[in-house]
Amino acid sequence: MHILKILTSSFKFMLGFIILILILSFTLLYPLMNDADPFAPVGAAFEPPSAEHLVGTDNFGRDVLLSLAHGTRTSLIVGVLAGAIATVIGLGLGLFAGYKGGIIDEILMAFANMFTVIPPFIILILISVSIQTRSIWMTAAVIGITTWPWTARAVRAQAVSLRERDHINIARLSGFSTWRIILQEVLPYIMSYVFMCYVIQISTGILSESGVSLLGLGPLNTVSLGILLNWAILFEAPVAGAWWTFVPAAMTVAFTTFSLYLMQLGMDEIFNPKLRS
Amino acid sequence: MKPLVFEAKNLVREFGHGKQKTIAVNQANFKIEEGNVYAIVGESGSGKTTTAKMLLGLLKTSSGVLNFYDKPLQLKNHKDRVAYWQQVQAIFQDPFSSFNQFYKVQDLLLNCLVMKGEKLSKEASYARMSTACQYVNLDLKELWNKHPFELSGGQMQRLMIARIFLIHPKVLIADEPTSMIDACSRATILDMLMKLREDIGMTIIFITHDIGLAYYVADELFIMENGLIVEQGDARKIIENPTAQYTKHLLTDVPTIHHPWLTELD
Amino acid sequence: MKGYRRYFTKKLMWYLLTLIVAILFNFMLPRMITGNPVDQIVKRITVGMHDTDNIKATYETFYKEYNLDKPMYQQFFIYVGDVLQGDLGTSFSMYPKKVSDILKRAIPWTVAIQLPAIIVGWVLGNVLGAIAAYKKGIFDKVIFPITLFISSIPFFVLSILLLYGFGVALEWFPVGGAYNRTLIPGPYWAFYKSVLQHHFLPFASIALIMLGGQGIGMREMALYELSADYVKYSKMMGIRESKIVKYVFKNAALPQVTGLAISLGTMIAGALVTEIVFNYPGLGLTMFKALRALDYPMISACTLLITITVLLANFFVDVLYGFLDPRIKANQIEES
Repeated sequence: MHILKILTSSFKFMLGFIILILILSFTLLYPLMNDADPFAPVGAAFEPPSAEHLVGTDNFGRDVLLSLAHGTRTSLIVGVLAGAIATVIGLGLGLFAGYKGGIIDEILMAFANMFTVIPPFIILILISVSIQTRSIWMTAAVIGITTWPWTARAVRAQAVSLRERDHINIARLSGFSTWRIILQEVLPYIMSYVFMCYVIQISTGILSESGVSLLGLGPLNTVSLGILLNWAILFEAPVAGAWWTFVPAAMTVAFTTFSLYLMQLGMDEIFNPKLRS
Repeated sequence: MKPLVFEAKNLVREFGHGKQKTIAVNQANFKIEEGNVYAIVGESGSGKTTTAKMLLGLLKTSSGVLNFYDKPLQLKNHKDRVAYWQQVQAIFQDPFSSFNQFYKVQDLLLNCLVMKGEKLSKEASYARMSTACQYVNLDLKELWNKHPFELSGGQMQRLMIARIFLIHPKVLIADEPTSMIDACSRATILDMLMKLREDIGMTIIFITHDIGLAYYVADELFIMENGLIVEQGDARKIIENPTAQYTKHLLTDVPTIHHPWLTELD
Repeated sequence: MKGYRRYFTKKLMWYLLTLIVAILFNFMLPRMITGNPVDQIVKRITVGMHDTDNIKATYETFYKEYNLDKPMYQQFFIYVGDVLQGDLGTSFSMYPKKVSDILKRAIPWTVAIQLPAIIVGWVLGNVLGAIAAYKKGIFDKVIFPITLFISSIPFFVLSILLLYGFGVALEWFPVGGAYNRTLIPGPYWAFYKSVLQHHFLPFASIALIMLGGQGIGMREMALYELSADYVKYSKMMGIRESKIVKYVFKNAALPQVTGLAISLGTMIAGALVTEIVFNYPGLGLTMFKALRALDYPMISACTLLITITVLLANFFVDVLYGFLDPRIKANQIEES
């Protein structure tokens, strides 16, 4: 397809995409080679990297490489889910606000701004501390419903610029309902932009999950990148010099978000010829 | 006296507030009679498109009276709006942006029939759409599965006219229908519109910056400058004896090739 | 100035509304948990007690003290009243210490790393970004990818890496704490030196991320402005280059102020995580400990404080922006 050709020609996008694919491959392929339980101790505590355990063991004697693979998978799942929820909410509200304009637009944007100025992270902490079940789904849902404002604002701007196009006026004159116009006449024209928003929301999702897990409020009974870092801090791994328990996890988060960021930059250059101010 | 389709008294439309308030339409007064052809002439920013949008019900008035067949124009709900737009339609300037590029020709035409609200069989629908296309010299079979961007500008604008044919409105507002069409195809489009008007008894209001075109088609003119109607009345009288400074200015801008054509008395 | 007054009033109203919503959140969410938080304290205090009547009496005393016997809306008004008087409740985990006392000692440390870090990061970031855009060449090609990477990674990643890299591996800086525990705080040089040593890494990690973000943005803006027509015309008209540069950066800086507002929320929240990594006794670490101990009054107070700070900071930036952008005074735009 035409769009794929353009995307593959963008250096930034391709570089980000390749890094992401490498991380994904590791996440999916390694557990196939080593199907042990990441929570099972396999050696002494804080063993440095060796031939047997490529990234050493953590404070409980568990294999770090295995935890890393499982953890990355969890973080990615939460990111993708949370990103999807946030994108859908942001898309709906942004399209509606942008197309309708006027007082509806003002109210919705004031509402969206509230969720930006009140740090989403804080709301995340408050909700996570209050709920009983802490599963991957719950974490993803909470992140999703607190991080949508970015997409809402971006989509709204697009809708506002499309609002006065002739084909929309013709659609109105043909008696289409508001939602039909929004979904049929506006949305198809911004699909590629929406995809870019989704990439950003995935990145936000991964970051939020690691942050909230780092604080000890992440999903229970599972391992994620943030949880790995939380363990490292709780069990004083940095001071013990056991860099393998947290540096790889931290770098994985860094490279994942960086790759998504690169992809988004590449797409932005293509879809937004003017610089966003 | 023919019935009055539209009557405007002290019609005003403003945008913004405070120091940056712009008055797009300033105290407009006019009468639109059924069956005539009108033209609102002016440069960009004169308020002509804003007036058109208010007549179409796409923009609310700021103040003043706007009557549609002697009743104030009030579109309160979806039903009102659909009923209104079965009687008042528009053709816009840019045929390329008048279409949703993601859908096919068949969908555009089908939507018109759906709007009319009649339940027609597949064959009957197809027959109607076919007639509409024939009217504008297009072959429905050829275009059925095509997307708008596969057609030429002239073809798309004619398709828009076919759309009008299907909806069969009482009033058509044509906003610069030929400014983005090749000069050689312009007359075709205009003639088609005028023929359609005769055949179904439509009132047409042209919006244009081209006073030459206005003279070619219109019975009556409204000259607008900066939101004000500076001159209005019979087209011939205005062209031959313009009173407003602005009208004279518009006339002198018409290329010389048109002058003998304009001053010809019949 | 009428335009500005309108802008200001609108902003003020919205911020007040947001404040109310924030307080509501802070109040309601922790209280929506099932199970009684007071159970905790009682368990701890009644360790060793076997007399059930005694335990029950203790339980009821605490129940009353935390107003849990009153209906929710009454609790809310008591809460708001207390907060306005500066009473943020009594800590569960450090009973009977008052929350405000604990916070009073933690906040200065947080401000000490965040305020200079944000300012230094913002200024340096914008300067570097502008230079990179103007000079181009090697400076741009090397600095840009690095800052790109730094600005896209989360706070704690940079903090952990700096902590390990400069603290543990190279041993250039101490790991953790605000000062050397063996020293008694006082106005003498060794103490100050220790404080500064412990201050540097957390400060640097926040400043670097701020720098990265601002640098990218400023470079983009400056590149855009530099290619604008008025720059070419000015050059052709022979206006001195330094003057052109001044105008370019003035234009480019304005959106950066908006950018600052948007990033303040993330900054402050993220910077707190830095404290956790460095075991720095500020607001962040206090909140972390409170979260682990499920000390609800403490958690509530911390989140409220953080929220109010971010709100105030954003409000300040918005007001400032109103002054800087002449279009707002002319009432030309309803800000986006």
